Amino acid sequence: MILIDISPLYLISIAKTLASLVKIKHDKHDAGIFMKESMRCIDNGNFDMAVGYLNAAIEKSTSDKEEMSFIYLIKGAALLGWIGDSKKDIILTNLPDAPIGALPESQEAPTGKISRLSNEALESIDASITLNPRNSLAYYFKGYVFFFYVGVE
Amino acid sequence: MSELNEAIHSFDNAVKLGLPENLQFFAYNMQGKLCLVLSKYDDALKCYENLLQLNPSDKDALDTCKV
Repeated sequence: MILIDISPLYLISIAKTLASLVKIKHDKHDAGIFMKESMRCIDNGNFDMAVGYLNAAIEKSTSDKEEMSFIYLIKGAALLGWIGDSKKDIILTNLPDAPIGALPESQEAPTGKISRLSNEALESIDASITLNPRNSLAYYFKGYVFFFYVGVE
Repeated sequence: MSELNEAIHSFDNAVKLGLPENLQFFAYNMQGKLCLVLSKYDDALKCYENLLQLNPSDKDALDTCKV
């Protein structure tokens, strides 16, 4: 049941806005290069690649808890953007006479993919809150994730 | 519906923990919309009243409070 219909472009726009709210000093930790690349990908709308870079940053980072909390927040925002992209895939798949090449290459069912990405986004935000329970921005992001979770189910 | 309640709770926590004022505006706006979806009209009114304290000329909030 869809309670709230959210357009993919709105979702992508919110994801970019949320990511831009998080300020990290890139040069402060070893994973700086991955962070820079992930932000570039988010700016360009390549959210799946951004998540890959953010996973690498999380793996390599030696940052303090507060900064790690922000890295997980950016990952949550990137996952929201990826959900927006996946919603676009569903619309393209359902278009009559969709042009060749317009259909998604992924073999995963789009609705299952959205559900998986939503859960990943929630896990990422929760990790952010665990690392810094006083991070007001993390709760703000979490509100959006729950809102969009309902909208994409 | 539990996701919508979680969303309201999360925005509430964000504001209590000292969310910057410009983001508080959006948090109250989202909370207000969610409360209306859940038919929590008194809570929605509080959200829009808080929103009006931040921006007294917000047309949507003014209209909703009138209704």
